[in-house]
Amino acid sequence: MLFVVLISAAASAGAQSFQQGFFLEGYKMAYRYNPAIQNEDGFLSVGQFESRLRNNVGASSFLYNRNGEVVTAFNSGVSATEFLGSLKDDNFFTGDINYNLVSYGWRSGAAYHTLEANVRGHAGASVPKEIFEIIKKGTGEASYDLGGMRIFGNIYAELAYGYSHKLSDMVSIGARAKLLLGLYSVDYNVTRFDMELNEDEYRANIEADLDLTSRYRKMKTDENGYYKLKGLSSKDKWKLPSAAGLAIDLGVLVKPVEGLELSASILDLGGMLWYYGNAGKSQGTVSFAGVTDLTIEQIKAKDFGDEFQEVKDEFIKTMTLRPVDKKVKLSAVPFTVNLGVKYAMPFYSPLSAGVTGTFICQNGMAYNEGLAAVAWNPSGNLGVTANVGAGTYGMVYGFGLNAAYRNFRLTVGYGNGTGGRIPYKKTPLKPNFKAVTLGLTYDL
Amino acid sequence: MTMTIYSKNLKQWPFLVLVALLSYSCSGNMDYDISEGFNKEFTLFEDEISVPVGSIGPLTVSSVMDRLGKTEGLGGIIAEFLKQDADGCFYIEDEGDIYKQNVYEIVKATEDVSVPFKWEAGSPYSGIGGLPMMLGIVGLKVMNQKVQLLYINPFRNVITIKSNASLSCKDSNWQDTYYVKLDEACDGVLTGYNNQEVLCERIIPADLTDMVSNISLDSLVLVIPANPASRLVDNTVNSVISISYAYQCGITLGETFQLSDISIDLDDLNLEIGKFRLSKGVVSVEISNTLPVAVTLNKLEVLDKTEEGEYIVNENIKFSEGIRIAGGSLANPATSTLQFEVAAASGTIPDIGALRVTVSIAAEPGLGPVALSARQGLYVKSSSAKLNGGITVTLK
Repeated sequence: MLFVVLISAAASAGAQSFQQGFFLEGYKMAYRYNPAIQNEDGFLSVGQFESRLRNNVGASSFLYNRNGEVVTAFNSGVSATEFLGSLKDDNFFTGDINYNLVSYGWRSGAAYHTLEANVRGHAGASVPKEIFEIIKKGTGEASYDLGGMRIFGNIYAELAYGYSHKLSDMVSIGARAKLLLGLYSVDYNVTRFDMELNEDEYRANIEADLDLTSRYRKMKTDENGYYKLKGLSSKDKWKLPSAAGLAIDLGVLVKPVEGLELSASILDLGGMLWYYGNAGKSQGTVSFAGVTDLTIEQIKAKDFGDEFQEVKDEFIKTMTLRPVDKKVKLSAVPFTVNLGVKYAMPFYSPLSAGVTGTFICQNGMAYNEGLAAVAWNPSGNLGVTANVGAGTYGMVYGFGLNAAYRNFRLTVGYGNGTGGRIPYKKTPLKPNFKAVTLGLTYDL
Repeated sequence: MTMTIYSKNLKQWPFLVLVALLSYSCSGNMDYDISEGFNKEFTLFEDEISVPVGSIGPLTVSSVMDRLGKTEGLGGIIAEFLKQDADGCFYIEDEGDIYKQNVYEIVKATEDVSVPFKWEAGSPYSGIGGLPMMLGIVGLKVMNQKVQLLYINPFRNVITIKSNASLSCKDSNWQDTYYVKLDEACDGVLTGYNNQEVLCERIIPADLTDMVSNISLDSLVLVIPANPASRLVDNTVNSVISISYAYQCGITLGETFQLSDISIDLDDLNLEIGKFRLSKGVVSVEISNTLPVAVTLNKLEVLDKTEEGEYIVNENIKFSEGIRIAGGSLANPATSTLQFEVAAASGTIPDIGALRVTVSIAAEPGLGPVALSARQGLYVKSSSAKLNGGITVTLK
């Protein structure tokens, strides 16, 4: 149920890397999709919000309808085969947000320039299937590998300069250089969690790593030299970032014939160098072979507290982190590859159709998606698009709207999977990729 | 015209599509409607779960004797008089007089007491009685027997003693099984001053379980000092020369020792397992037994408490029966690996308020005499449980 909660939290907001922008003629920030895309005029944007959320397992893996009643996956009416068959080896959700503080674009001859300041964040968690297998089926297997549990996240600021140049009427190229300044990063990774559960003994070998990188927070240690998870001390006051890095976007736009556009871009190719503020490691073995010398009186009094308290203390001690030597950490930012084809109908140019393909990779969690879209852009002040397609998790759909009044332009985009959701809530029932974009620009 | 109509349609359909998409995205699958709540019944570990339970005990003779000591009847009496040595082995003591003679009667019966004289005391004897005799009634036997001859010399002077002292053990057919003369240790002098001293001591072969039946002082002759009345430490008319015995024995089981169908109620357990809706479980135990008895678990029954506070057997819950635990000793514990199953004939296993254990106990054949010790008992070295069908809990 914790995983469902996580999915619910993740699904409360989400935005796709706005592929629909490729099909909206008046959208001023399409350079984010492909840095080769140029606007005719300048613009100013404040506060555009984009986010995207992915989960490779949905709520329908944990909730089922039996005899008209909603039951959990751990109800006896749900078979282990059905429940575990709906899970992946690693079940995860990830999320990205991109909050645009300010963007400014201007034309200079054949070139188009953009400047941006954003705050970006990534987060995610993964849980191996074996955990659910043990809870559902029991301890019938000789051993279990629960390694791979992970929770991570980071926040960084992004300062970007974009340049696009029309090489000819047919070809435009573009690039964006981004300076990345890391603020916080946390990564807790259980690298090893081997369990043997049998009649004689429960035994677990555990290893876990923690990176909590921040110049402004220092984890305290207790008298035994282990990290205390509460009470981070504060040092310095926002003088320097915790990480620095670079990333680039590259793109090319080709218009081979009238009405046809071919787009290819790769976004966020780069990484950051983090200064380790708090690095810790825990490892050890926990075992439980039953209570020792239990008496009839203890059974009557249900007095097992001391025995289980020892096991609990031993487990906590194994999971407790000990500081390791500080060092820098190089981490890549999630990158995206976009391909797109758009064709304006020769009999009615405001109507266009096309396809896009996207590949996203975040912390080793890949996602692919292909969309077929139609768009209607009757004027530069109005544009709508709708799309359907398929991704790693199944069918997807979306729409976008770009509407301007005087010089103010509103952009709204939405993308979602087709698996449905829990009524009155936003929790997706199926593996899902969900996105919302909302932005306001001022045409200069 | 056509183009105008076509354009009007074209202007409307994107909005219709948008509305449709919005409507679809705002709807939910009513099969998963949890707005009114959902079923919070969880069945965990559906196939099986094995749990190491651990070690239990030991349940020792001393803990049982503590209970018997508080009860009436022969068992209570025996428990009351049992003693333990430094190793925890039980033993019983008995003492009594073999020969007792008043000094003044000796003087009265002797013509000339002005010189040291011989007093022929005859052939006094005594048998062991009392509690050791009662052991056989409950199927126990004696072992590690020790006999001491003690004396009291009321004079300030030594007394010379001469006797063909002996003791014998007899079996149940009253035949001699052991006989030994004690005279080489019993001839000599008795020191004075009215203190009780050990004349001699004899240890019966440790594995002889036939009790000492007779201690004899054949042809007992004492050499009394001259003017004995004047040599008494305490010049009273009750001064006596006495020779007595002190007897001590350990306890073992007879080959025919057997207690059948003993029911032991383990009450007030209050195991609240009914809420987990278990249907079947297998308990595996490894038991170490240092008692020289084989214990057979005839029956294990779940007891339900009535409104009147009495216990009745719950016939729906069945345990494995006829499980035997082999007997052993402190030096060589017997380890038995057992497995018994508990299952509900219908439904699930309810809360267990109490259990009734019915056992039969019999001497383990082939062990030989093993001294009973308070430290002997049953010890569950390891135990585990395997539950099938899952554990069901309902969250509120």
